[in-house]
Amino acid sequence: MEQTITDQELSKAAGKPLLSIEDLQVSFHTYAGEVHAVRGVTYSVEQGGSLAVVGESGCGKTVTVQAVMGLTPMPPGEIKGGRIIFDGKNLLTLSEKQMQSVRGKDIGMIFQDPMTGLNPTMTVGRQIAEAIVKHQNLSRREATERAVEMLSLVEIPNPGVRAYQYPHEFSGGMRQRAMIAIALACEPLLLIADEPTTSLDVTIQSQILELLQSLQDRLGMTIVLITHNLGVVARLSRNIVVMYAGKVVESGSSSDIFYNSAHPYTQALLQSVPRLDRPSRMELASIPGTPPDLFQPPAGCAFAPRCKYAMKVCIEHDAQPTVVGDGHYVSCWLHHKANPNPLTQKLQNGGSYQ
Amino acid sequence: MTDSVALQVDNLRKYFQVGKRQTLKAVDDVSFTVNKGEVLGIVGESGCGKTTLGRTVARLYEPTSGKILFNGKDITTKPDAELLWFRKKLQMIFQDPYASLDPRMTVGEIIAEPMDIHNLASGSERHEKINYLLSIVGLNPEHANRFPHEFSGGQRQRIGIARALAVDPEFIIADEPISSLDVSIQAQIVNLLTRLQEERGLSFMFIAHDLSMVRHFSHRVAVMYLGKVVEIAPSGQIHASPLHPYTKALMSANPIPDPVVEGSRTRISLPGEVPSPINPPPGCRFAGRCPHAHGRCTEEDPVLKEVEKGHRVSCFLY
Repeated sequence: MEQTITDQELSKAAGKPLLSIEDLQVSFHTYAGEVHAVRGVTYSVEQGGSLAVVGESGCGKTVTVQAVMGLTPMPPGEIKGGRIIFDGKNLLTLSEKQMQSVRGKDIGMIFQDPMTGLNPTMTVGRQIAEAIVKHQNLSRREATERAVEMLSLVEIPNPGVRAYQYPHEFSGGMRQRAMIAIALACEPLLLIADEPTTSLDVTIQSQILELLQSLQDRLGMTIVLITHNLGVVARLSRNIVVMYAGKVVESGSSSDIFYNSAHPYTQALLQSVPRLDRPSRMELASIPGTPPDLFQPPAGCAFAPRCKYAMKVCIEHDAQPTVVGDGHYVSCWLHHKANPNPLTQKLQNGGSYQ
Repeated sequence: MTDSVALQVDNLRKYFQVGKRQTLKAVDDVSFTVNKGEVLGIVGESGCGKTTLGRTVARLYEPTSGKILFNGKDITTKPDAELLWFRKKLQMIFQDPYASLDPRMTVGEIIAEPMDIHNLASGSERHEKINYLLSIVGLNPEHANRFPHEFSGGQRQRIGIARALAVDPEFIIADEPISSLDVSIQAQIVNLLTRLQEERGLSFMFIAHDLSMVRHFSHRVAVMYLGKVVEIAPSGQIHASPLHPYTKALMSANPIPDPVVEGSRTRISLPGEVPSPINPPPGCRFAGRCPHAHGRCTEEDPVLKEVEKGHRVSCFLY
């Protein structure tokens, strides 16, 4: 698997994004009206990079990657605009047939729920082999051998026996490992992990994160991790995109976001989680209110009603991304160059703010 | 037993019969006390028996054996009819804010139901009490006429809290009250619980799997593994100096939202997974995954013993 990406290819691709999403807009048509789930999302991930997309439920993080995989249910979904450039191709213009050769082969995906992500009527080995047979022109027998190799790659004990078992014979952590094996079976260039550890216990979560980390180190794989858990992000990802109400509010390196966050939402999010290394029973910085209804997204900044720094302009006009550092972007009027009193003093830091 | 003890649990066991000859030991010989005005956090992974423990203490399950003393009175085997006073003093907040509210009742009726059962208020007094309860959990009086489906998860959890407070309880068992909520909403609810706990001097059993949240809210923390309490200590000590190998692993598995701290941590990674609580093997339940296990661990059951003041651990290493 190490040979998937040659050094030559790597240097050619260095600094070039493998996946870049540009101004993506996705809506869902429901009886109650049109839900503007993703409202102009732009982010990219480099070859060999690791990107985390962070946000609360309903912020559009999963809908964005569903569009990347061509898995948006249509109807009710509709891709209203934007481009998804993967490996030089705009995925949104591909036919379903062309998409099938990308999905599972060039892009692998791990879903949140390992209980429902697997087919209960097929052995685990066969489910892994299914993708290999489809994309790599191997015989069933070779594919099964490869499936056993994949199971040992994801550190499942007794892979030769386990490959012939059904998902119900696997525990939650084991099933998630099996899902990772399926996603990696065709040596994808990009792995999308949508909340891969959310339904797992912490000690099992730790095992899975360790596995993802070592797979990335060994295979040089590009990972997009979607999660709401800031601790998981701190452990795994080099770059972070923070989403709120269908938009990207801030993006930057892990240290930009954790120690130098510029958007009030990012800061509030970081301060609202208790930490084991802090004194207990300190008041948590909670964010008042709830995220807006995306049936009628607000004209201005979606966070303005909950933001303690909100100004008049925030309610009326949405902020565009502003550069606040090398590769660090924030969509907030506080940092906009049109602001006559740009913040000279840094807003309270999130990660290590005392 | 002193007056300051609100709840004393001695050698509590709750077994379930599964199949013909199998016994699931969900709670196995658990003892602890909760003082008045104290928050005891119960933490552990799924299947460790923490929810069963909470429900057995609340007498929603019949204990298999052991003793539960509430305010010094034995309630272990009392029939339901004699437990009305106990149910007024002890209330529960449940995990799922969607399933724990009756969809056909208005919020006002939901909150008033416990008051009606205990004949606490009627007429305009009842009405005022509903409004008062809604206001202390951060909702408006107009919300009383709405139905649960009109509310978000965080708001529903507030309704659940208002219902629990309706009978002016002394003791609250909160079973994963925030785990189904978003991060920014979790902080709102925990701040609300902290404020109510302090203002009213409530005692709490706070059951959750989120270690950092449990440690944040609790004065003392009990760590459970496969039906047993393996360690119990003041919440500062449980993080600063955990003793049991399982607690140590649990602490180190919990990611801290700080990349520098995360990058420099040494992690104890546990092999395997939690074994089945059906017919567990003799000896320490954790022995199969423990990096320090030795001969004695698989033969003899360690008892919970005090190694420092207020810090008890069940492990042969100490």
